[in-house]
Amino acid sequence: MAAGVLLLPLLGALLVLLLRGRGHWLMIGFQAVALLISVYLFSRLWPGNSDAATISPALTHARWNWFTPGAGYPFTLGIWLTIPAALLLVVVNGVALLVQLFSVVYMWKDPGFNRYFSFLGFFVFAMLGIVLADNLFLIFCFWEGVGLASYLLIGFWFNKPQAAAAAKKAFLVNRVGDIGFLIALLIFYAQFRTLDLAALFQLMPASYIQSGDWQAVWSGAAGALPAILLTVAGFGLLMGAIGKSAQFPLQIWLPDAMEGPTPVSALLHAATMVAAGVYLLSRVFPLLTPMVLDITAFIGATTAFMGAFAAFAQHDIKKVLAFSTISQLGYMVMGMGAGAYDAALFHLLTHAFFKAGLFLSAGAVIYALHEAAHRRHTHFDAQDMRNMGGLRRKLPFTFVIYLLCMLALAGLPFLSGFLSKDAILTGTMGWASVARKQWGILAWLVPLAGFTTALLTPIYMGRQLFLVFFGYNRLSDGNEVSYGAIREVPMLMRFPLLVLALLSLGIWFSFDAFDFQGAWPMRLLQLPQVAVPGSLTEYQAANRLFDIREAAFRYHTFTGVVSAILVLMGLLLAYLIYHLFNGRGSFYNNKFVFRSRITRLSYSNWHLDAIYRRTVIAFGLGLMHFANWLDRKVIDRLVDLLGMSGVVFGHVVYWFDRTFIDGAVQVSVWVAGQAGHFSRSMSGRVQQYLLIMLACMMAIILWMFF
Amino acid sequence: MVLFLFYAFAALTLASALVILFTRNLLYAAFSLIFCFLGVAAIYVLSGADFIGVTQIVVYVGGVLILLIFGVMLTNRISTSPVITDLHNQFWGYLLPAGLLVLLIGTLGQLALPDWAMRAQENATLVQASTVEPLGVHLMTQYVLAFELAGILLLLALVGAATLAKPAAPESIAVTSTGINTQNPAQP
Amino acid sequence: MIPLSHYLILATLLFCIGLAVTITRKNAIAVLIGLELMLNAANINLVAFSRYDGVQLQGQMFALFVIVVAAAEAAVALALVVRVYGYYKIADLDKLNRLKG
Repeated sequence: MAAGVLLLPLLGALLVLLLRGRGHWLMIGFQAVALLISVYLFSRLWPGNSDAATISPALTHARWNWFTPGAGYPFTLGIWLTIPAALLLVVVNGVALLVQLFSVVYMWKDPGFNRYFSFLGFFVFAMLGIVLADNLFLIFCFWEGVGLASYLLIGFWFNKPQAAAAAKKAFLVNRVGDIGFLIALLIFYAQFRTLDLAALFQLMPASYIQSGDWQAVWSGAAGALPAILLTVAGFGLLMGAIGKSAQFPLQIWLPDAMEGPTPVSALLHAATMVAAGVYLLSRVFPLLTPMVLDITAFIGATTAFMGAFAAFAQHDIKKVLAFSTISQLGYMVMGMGAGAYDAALFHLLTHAFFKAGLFLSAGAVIYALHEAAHRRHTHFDAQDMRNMGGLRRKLPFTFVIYLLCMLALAGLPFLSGFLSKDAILTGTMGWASVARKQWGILAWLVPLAGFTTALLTPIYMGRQLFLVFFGYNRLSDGNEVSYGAIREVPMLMRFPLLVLALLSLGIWFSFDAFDFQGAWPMRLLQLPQVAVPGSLTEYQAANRLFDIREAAFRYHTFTGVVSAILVLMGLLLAYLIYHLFNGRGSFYNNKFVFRSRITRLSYSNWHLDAIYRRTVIAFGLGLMHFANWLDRKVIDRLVDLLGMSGVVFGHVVYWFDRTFIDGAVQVSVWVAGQAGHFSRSMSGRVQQYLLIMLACMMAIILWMFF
Repeated sequence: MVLFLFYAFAALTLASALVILFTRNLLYAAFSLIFCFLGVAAIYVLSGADFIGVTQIVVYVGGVLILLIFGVMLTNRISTSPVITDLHNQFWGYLLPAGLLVLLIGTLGQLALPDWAMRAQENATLVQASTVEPLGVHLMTQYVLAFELAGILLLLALVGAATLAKPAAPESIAVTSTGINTQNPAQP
Repeated sequence: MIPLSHYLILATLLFCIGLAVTITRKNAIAVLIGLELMLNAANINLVAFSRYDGVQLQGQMFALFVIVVAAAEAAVALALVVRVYGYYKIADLDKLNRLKG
């Protein structure tokens, strides 16, 4: 049944490609069925609905033998429907369905309409594969499938050079992370001869570290690898997640990915692509050692802060959202690293809804402006916030949706974002109070970054809100006429927006708006049994997580109050800076550029692109030049030498030819000439030849027998 | 009885062969070849090679002979006069085969069966019953490659014969004629 | 049980008759008839010796392939004859003497 959910989008994607007419209804139909099945599966797994006995193993974990390597366990492929997987199933299918509905209008005039829906279906299929696969190898396959789908969709308008470049960049940067993932896969396979997650969860605790060696214990021979490889494998998995979820230092691809169609960005940021990294961390969470988890927390905190800072000085309405996604993903990864497994997944869930809502409302704004420009035959960048302002009056519906989702992202109480963000921050506080034994004062940097980001988020989101929807319209240079032509988006676009905005309310997740502990996802998601090697450290990983839990309880009220204050403060600051003190945003016209050093740092995303250009790319180019030099100066020389020796050899052969072979030919010509003289005596009649042959044969018989 | 039958069929075979030898009429020769082939087929059957005998009838009588008669008809105007073939090499052509006959019959006296044949004679494993089944098994196992090759050969012969017999396009005649005949008046 | 020598004598006679036909006839089709006679003579020998080889039946197998090849040969040869006749309007071998040195 889960396999059905997995295959439906793929089937839809393939069929849509075959259709001649518009195939959106087909894809959406398949997607709706997949969503219904997902909801059913989720309800079956709901703890209250059926006790564990009635949930058949066939429903939760189905395996098929793929092949059996020469000596070892059979290599299985399978579907493992855990509670987080079922939850993700609903989220992915739900968001995908809404995005597809939205896309019908958004992409209606695009010539690649069916191709677009087919890619969307494939994207969803690949993501569902990651969610359901029970095997690291299978996950890797789908992981690459997601990479491919994102490449296709980011570069959907491939005749735009920026879009093609952005797609290439996303693909290549993701490969860097995938190398880590692949290394982790190889290490796990070398150690345990299996990549099945359920098997790994059993084999890992059985293995142990002894005098620098990592000893595996399984029914075959016991394997031993250097202990460092255990950590390397953990980091490899982390690297995969960093690449896919756009964490520091690989977050550079995500802002560029805004070149794709806006509904794709919504899907990419909410449900399919970037969620994959966080989901992978949750899937392999038991395999991560405390060391890896701590680094994960630091990376997440860094990314959260960097993303929030970079979101400040952007012109593109979608880029602000892109950096906010990076920041929010940083939160999730930080939560994972801090052992707040359930909080991170909870945030993934809430973030999926409000971020999809934000992107779709941004898409609605872009669509409305684009249509208006079309109606008045003007040309301006429909994504540049310098051309916006005052849209609240023209797009009231979109404004309300955007406001709800934006406040959820900012983390205002009574909205979903507050609950999950609070849960993560509490977790990091608990982690810091435990981890300070190892990291000292550094450990407090993680919650500090978390709280700073919590303050920054409402400011930059408020900036966007005020600059886009409040104040006066800033269209100029003859484009002002388009303002009057802006119309609210069609009903088919409004429906997904409405659903997503409603799902951003906190009431769906917890009745008590201030108590994330009571939220059903937090109760539903149990911390998984940790499966790191026994006797790993003096401080057992499982106990450590338990201690973090205990410590976090103490900070519950503290974080709730502090983050609520920070959010309100941030919103107020945004109002003051971007609205009240600066002429209602009128300074932000199309002549505006970022000048100060700090805004330029934010605008260029910490100059990361330039840094990579100077270091990694320069190194690559240097290597290339060196290889080029090596090729021309050394290898070409060798080839030349070989060629010269060939020529010399040829001369020798030529001399030999002239002297001996030609002589032999002349001899044979002479012999043939003599034979020709002899054949003049022949009559040319076959039967006479036969007679002569017969006479000769008779002579032979005579000689043999008599 | 078997021996008598053998003599009878051997006589049939030899008689029709002699008719072929002494007649100059091509059609007579072709028709007496039928009897010759039938006699040989009967001798095959008597020697325990029933499958070969049937193949002989099917292939030779049913195929080759028909082809021969077609050939006769296609290369002669039989409606006007009987198809008479001229003779040549008459002296040596009869003398040397006769000499070969004498020589070969003469060597019969010196014939000694090879070892494996002697052993088979002692062990009485001579071919007695039908050989269709072992032949089939051998064809499909041990000789399968030769079998397939024979099939390809037949196909090639078929295609080749059809290609050869087809009237050639004018220019291709010119091309082939340059290498074939100096007697052709069209020839330079 | 027919003695082996009977077969051999029969085959020799047939072969020599075929040989004489092949040599003396001018017409190409008559020559072909002689060839077929010789092939049959050889086949008789093969079958005769094959009686001593009840397991492998190599002689019979060989005879079978000889028949196949003979059929192919007859087809091609007659096609050639027809073609040559169509070109030179003769089917007599003594006039086709391009092999002359």
